[in-house]
Amino acid sequence: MDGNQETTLISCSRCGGSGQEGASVCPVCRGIGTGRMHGPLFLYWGRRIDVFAVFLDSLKSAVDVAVNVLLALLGLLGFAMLAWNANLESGSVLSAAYWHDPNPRLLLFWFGVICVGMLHYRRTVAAARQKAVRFRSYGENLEALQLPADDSVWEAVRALPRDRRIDVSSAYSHQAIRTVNDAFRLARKLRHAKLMPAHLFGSLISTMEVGVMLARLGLKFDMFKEGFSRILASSGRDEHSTVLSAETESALIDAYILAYEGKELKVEPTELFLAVIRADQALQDMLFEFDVDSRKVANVVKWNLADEYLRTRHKRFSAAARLKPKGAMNRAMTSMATPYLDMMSSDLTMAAKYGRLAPVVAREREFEALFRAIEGGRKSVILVGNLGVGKSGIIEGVAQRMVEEDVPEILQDKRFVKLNVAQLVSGATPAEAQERLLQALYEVGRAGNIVLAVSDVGGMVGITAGSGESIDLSKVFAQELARGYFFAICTSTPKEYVNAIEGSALGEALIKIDVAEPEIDDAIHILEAKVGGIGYANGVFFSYDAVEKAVQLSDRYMHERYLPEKAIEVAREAAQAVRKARGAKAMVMGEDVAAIVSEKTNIPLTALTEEQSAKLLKLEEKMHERVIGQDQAVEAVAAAMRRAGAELREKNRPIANFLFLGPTGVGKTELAKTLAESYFGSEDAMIRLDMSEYQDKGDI
Amino acid sequence: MALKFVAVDLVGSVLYYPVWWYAGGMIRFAKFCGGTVVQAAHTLGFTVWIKNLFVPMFGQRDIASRLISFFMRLVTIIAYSVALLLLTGVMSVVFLLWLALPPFVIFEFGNQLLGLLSS
Repeated sequence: MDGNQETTLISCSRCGGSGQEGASVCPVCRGIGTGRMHGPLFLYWGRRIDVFAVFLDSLKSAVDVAVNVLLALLGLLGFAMLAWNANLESGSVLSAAYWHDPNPRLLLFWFGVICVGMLHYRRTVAAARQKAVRFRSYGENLEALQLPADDSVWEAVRALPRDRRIDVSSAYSHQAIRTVNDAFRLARKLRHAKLMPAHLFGSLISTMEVGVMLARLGLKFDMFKEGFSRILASSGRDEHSTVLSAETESALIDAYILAYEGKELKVEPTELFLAVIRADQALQDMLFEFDVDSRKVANVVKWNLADEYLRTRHKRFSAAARLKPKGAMNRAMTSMATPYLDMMSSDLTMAAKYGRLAPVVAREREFEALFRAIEGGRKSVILVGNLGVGKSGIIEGVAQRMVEEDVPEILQDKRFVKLNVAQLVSGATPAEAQERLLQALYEVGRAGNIVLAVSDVGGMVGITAGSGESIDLSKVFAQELARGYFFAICTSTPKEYVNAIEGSALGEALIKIDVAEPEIDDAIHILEAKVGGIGYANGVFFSYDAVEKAVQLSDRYMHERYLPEKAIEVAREAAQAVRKARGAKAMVMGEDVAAIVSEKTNIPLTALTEEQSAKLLKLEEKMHERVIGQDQAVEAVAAAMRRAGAELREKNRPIANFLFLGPTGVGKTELAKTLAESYFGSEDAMIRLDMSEYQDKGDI
Repeated sequence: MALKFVAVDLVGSVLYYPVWWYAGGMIRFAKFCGGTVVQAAHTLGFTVWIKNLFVPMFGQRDIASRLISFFMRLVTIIAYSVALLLLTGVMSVVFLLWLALPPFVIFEFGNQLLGLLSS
């Protein structure tokens, strides 16, 4: 299907997309009016939005609340009456006469029971009426819709099964529906002819979820109040009625698609916010003035969803963790204690069961590759990635999934135990180390319910430095691994893998899985899930800008280390610095993070201070205090420095390259020294390579 | 007009209450009762025990241990079965209570009402 067909709304030509013909339902589209395809689904907004419907909605919810409160009170009153009665006629409660003799208190009690039953019924029915977003399961491979382009499209839509023709409004949460109604009220109050995305934006910013997002983006309503009023004022007027605009209808459907793709249960204001901004160019322009583009909004939406995910995951995880046995025994009671192994290892599944491991996010790809390799090869695996890309995080994630038993069968009802190589070899001769390893592996084999994790398995290679009797521990490990009586997940850095493991017996016994450094956006999502904990520990909050800068700046300037670890560390240090400088409940801003990266790398990254910009503007004058003449060279150098100061340069190249030509003594070296002194503070702030020293082969 | 809608809605909901009790509500409650038993079996690891009936316990693979282990597992499975049967019985009674509740409450309520009116 072409993408165009997917994003354009299909409107009924008979009723003009309203779904109504006069007072009755349009016979062609049967009230659907307008809709859109998305993959195998046909989506439409089926809820009426007009003065009457919105009023009826709010009246209904008010009456619902009132009735429920009344029922609860009557129920309470009934039970109070029973207690009172029991008090008055104590001793006879068990006699038949007590219950059968007429008594107004007991009459009220039975009425109260009826009321409680009714309350239960009303609440259950109301909850059942709320539909969930259609669940997109793994492996579900439905064909994309192919609908005719002419009027027969509505027949095809009507012929679709119920679960593929979806009224998106049925999956909107109560709060999301309320914001849509509020938006309509706003539009009506302003006498606007159409309900535009801007009206939705106006009602969304008063919800708590969107409030949190705005705060994270560093936005306050006062900042964009004027711009927002201008956008609202540009809507056309109508004294009598307001209808849904096509953009709004599209945004309402888009919000559902976001929830569907993200496997959310309901459409919440969070998704609606992103959809609304994507639908309205004017809103995007307004936010862009404050350096907020829709990519940033999307990342903050992810952040909100991650918070929500961590909350629900915690609940689900604690429920599952209760079933995971404590200690060495598995559920089948086939295993046995492993006292020797326990001395040189730590039990990861136990740590996960008791919630001591940090949650793992945005690692779906790696988990999938890992589990595929395990299921396919039934062989042990090795995760190969640089320090800090998250190998340990993935190992911990596996332990957490094992607690939930959300893993391939080979890992189910097992313990995940991390072998400590350092403890294994410490203070031992190679022969002793080998004996220890074999003893531990013997226990692993006997217990039969243990999966080993070996971090930096390269540490086993080269334990050969003994006197006379040197043995390579990794060979022993590989030999035992090849016998297949236990299963291991190892980790290693690429360098170590190439040097020591690849091609060796150990390399043969392991399937390699590469763990790449996450992309910038993925690293941002990982950090978003982490900063909640970091902020909580330090009593501060993170702005989105701080999260983004921690990832971007550490990616750009800290080359010796890898994402996401370096970004997490920068964020942690920034949180501590902000706590010290501004106290509890302060917000960590992008500038704070830039200051930390500056401090670590000695590269000026914070926005230019006034003093610095004044210096840049008058750089020529300053340089001319030392260099007489050579105007062309001085101007070129100063211009390049100003460009760099304004960040108008290529990020992965030097600020500028100059070739000064001239006979000895005209001031070529002097100019370089002058720049170093006048801009970087000291004549020594330069590296000088004298090429005349490298003329022979032997010099290099 | 809107008030009429809301009033009709309210009256409808009162009339539908008994129907729901023996239709949607009953199915829901039956699922809840069944789910409680299934969850209990899951918590006890009932199927895990049955699957491992012939697997020796504690990694002891000699003949004597295998024999002891088999009977131990058999006893455990029987004990768990009894417990689950008991629970099933209790949940069935609870389900019957759900069915009997409306007539009983209506009867008691009517009894009190008539008694008070006639006295």
